[in-house]
Amino acid sequence: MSKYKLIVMVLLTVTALVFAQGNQLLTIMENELNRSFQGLKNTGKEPLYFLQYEINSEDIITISASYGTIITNSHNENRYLSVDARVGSYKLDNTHELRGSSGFGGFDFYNSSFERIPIDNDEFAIREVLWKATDGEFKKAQERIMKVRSEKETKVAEEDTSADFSKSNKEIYTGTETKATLGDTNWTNRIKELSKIFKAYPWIYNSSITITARGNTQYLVNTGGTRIVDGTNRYRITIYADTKSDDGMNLYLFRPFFSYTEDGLPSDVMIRLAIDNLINDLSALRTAPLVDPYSGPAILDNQAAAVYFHEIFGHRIEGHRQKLEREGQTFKDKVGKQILPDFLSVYDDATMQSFNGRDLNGYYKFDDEGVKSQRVTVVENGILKNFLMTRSPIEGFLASNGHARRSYGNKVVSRQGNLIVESKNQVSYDSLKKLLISECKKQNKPYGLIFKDIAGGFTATGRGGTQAFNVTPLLVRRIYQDGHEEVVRGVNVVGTPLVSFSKILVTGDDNAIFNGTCGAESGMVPVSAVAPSILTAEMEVEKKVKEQEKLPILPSPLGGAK
Amino acid sequence: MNIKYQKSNIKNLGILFTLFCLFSVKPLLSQESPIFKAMQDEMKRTTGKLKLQKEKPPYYISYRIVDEQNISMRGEFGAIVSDNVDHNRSLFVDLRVGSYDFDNTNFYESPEYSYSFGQPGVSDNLPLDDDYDAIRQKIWLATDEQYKAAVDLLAKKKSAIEHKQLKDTVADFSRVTPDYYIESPKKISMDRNEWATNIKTISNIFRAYPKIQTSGANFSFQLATIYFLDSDGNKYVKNDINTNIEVSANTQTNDGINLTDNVTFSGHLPSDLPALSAMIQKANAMADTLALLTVASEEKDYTGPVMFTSLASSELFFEIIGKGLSDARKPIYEDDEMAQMMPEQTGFLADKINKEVLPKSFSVSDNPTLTSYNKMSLYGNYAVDDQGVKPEKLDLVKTGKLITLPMSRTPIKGIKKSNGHGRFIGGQIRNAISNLVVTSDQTRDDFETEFISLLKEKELDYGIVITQLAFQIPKGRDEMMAMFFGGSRPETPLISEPLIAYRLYQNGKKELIRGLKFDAITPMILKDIVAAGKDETVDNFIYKEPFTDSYLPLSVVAPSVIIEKMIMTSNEAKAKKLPYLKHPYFGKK
Repeated sequence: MSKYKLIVMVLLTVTALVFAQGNQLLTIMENELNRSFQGLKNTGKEPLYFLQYEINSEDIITISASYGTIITNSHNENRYLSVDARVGSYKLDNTHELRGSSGFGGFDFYNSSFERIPIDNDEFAIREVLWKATDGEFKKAQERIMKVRSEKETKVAEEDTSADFSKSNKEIYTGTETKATLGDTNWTNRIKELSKIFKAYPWIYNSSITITARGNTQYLVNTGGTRIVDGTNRYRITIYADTKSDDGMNLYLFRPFFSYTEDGLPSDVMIRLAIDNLINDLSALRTAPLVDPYSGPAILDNQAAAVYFHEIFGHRIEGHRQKLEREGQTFKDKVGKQILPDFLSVYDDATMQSFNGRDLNGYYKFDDEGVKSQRVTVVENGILKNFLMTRSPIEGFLASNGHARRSYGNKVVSRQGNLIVESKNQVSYDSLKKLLISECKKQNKPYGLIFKDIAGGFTATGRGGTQAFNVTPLLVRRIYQDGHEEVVRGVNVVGTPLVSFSKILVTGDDNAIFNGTCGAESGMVPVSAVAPSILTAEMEVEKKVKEQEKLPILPSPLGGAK
Repeated sequence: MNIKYQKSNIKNLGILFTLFCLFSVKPLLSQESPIFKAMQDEMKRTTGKLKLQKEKPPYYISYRIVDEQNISMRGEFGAIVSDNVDHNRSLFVDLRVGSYDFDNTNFYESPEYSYSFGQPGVSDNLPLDDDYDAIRQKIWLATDEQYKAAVDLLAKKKSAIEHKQLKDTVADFSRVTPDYYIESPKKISMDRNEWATNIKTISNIFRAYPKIQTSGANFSFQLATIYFLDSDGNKYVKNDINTNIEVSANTQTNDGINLTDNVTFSGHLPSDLPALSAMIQKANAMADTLALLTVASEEKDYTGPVMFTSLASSELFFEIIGKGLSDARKPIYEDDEMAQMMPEQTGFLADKINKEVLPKSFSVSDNPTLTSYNKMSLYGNYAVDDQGVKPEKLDLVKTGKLITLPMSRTPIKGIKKSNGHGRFIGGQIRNAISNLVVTSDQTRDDFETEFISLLKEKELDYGIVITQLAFQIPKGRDEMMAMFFGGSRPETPLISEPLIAYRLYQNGKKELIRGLKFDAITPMILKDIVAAGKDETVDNFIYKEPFTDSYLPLSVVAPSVIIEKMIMTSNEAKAKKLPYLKHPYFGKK
């Protein structure tokens, strides 16, 4: 037999095996789902009317290097189960918000705990876990619906009387199971070599380069007939470095790269460029003056603008935030009304795997309720059109549009996938800067701000607190009326969302992607945001809380005094 | 390590393969080892130059680098649930300012806003390669961080003592004659595939137990190489190897009370564990007992003689003597309220030196150099303690009287010096036992007869015999602190409640019972022992603190004993609804 044939045969075997195994796990889930549903639907005080099993198989390789040596090298494979059991009826079930709940900070801790599923496809070992978890969830559901009913009796009527669950199409999809793979056996050496660059900079305290390869497979079955097996591979490289300014402020920067294929990862030359760029920025930050509290015109560079839209805008168009009584419901009554400048449109499209040839992290075929992902136009020419919906309806929006997301073990809520901001009022980045300067002159401000990197932030959408946001920019520059620029540090952006959006004047023509991971009440999910740079007439910044630690007493052993 | 990559590729190809994972310990760690060179050079620079303007430099520094390789697997019902390998290196800096008499340690400050889990002077993710520069960089940062924290803590401690008008006369740290110990490197070959198969086989026995709801078998293997250097001149390299299997099962009685049982196997090397057939036999016995427990009658209360036999006797001695002598130095708390909220779950016998804690016929020793006792393997041995001190064989109790304590370099009232029992657990050094051996010079052959005659004398139909306790690890101070700020009051009982107990009737009949716990126990309970058996049970176990993910291998040897009178009450276990549906496997039959 020629070598060729052998390889072809091996490949065939592999494919067949993987395929068979995929069906095998799904069949096991299906068997237990059917048995459970038949056995439980008329067993408790309230009927079980919907049951879903989702297993997330997570296979993760992480290699991390610092100063030319490996600091992490791990490969872990686990399967996690999330069970969703609904008792009562579509109209009112156990998932209904408990208003009087004692949760922490307004959070209702009605979260299922996750179980580990055997990584071997052994029918009864797996079914034992499914059985026990189902029993637990079913009992919790029975208990909780009693509280829901009693609140209905004792509390005032809710504003939004829509149902708790909506019907949805049955989906059948058999994709491939996947594992984490790193084809290039030289990655360890490559990131070791790259991480050596930092050795020449003794003023940097900690630095690392990390490559992560993930193979995630979603297995989902529910009593609506939906059957899904879908695998996705993800690759990520992150460069990280930190230091302190002379007055003891902790400073850090990172640069992420994301791709769905190993081939899509940057070349060493590209990574070197990014490292050099990060070191330059960090060096500038270290000696940069502290920012003064300021309110005035500013540019958010494209990636920073993308994070800004994700945080400040995106979280407020998530469906459940219009419904829950504890939420601020910023946009609830704004449908059909203008909420952004008329030259801006926003949509969320999780069906997109890439944008302008670059991979988008927020892509998925099916959400965690088994609903097909779709493009949702949220804002058209400044006018609010729609929300991101799960199968939990809200007034006027009765069906899911495939945005129910979670990490294993949590209850789904509506989350963003790929949030994309489009502008009809675009100018080149250079013009944007010029406009910033003229805006400064107009407002009689000595300088404007340019935000380059935003690490993330938080946004409070609840009723309890103020409807405010706070994002943490890593790199900010002042641009003076004469055009010269300087890096500043210690900045927090603060403000209230509705005011903030109305101040956007014009955007750049330089759409860019921010690929990240978003944390909220349903856990961590991969997301992307795409936006052009924006010029805003007013951005408010305050001083960041500063750590009180002094600089290290002795200089770095890596090299002489700084 | 590239083992893992092989693993997944092989699994994908569906080919049966045996994997050999060769853990090679680095070539002999001489003076030239980059790890030691980095520690030495940074220590030299630190002792000479590290100081804040108005403060004193440190008077003591130690560096501990722990290189740990872990394999952990779990099997359930014959299938592998998880199979993970991990390799990491961490650095721990012990840096002291002040003096041996009075320094920044043995003190707990009040957390200001929230309790922080981070610990200054600890650095995870140390380079896995022996790279001098990269390791030294980490040591430099951790030392600096720890020095500042130590200076701050010492000031707070001084102020707290002044404020409370305390007279703390016990020194904080003791001097030792510097010692040097370099262990020869070991190579361990581990057949992971074999252990995966074993775990599958063991966990598969539960297919024969329809009364058991969930079950599983965990395998863990740790190879830790510890590099230690301190400014007093102590230096060592030692390997700490532990292999453990824990088989556990859960179920409910017909009226909904949760029941659990477990059996563990511990040894240093995988080859130290019993043969697979022996482990299966023990796991089956455990499962049999658990199945019987589901129909055992519930005992509401009992007052009378109690026999501790089999594992329960060594567990009893560990709970009172082992815990009572360990972690004995009581820290000063900045906040009085916090001090009151911290129950002392360990060290409660430390103030009983020269007092009787056992009947006159009993002696207790602790000897870390033993690897076996009366042909039974022991597990708590070490050549040098975690502060670099060579261990001494200790006679802890003689003719019933407490003579001394296992000691670290942290003195307590009455004992100034270390005797080589300083163990690193939960991120800090505590004094602890290693191989605890309890003996009596008045043991009896007719032990059970003695128990029955005691029943007759007291006119009791039956007495309680306990063979296993539901051992609970006492909470460390850091964990208690976290719980305290989480709003709950941490308590573990002095003696854990029985896991397996039965009635022994006057006619010799035995009947399994459940539902009891001990009431009104004092640390002096062992003085009420009235008889000891000729048997000796060795309990080799891993003392694991889940909160800090740290562990100590320990051994306790003890004879069966009878305590004249104990009060036991209902553990008031709450019933939970039984599963609605039958177990999918047993239900189909």
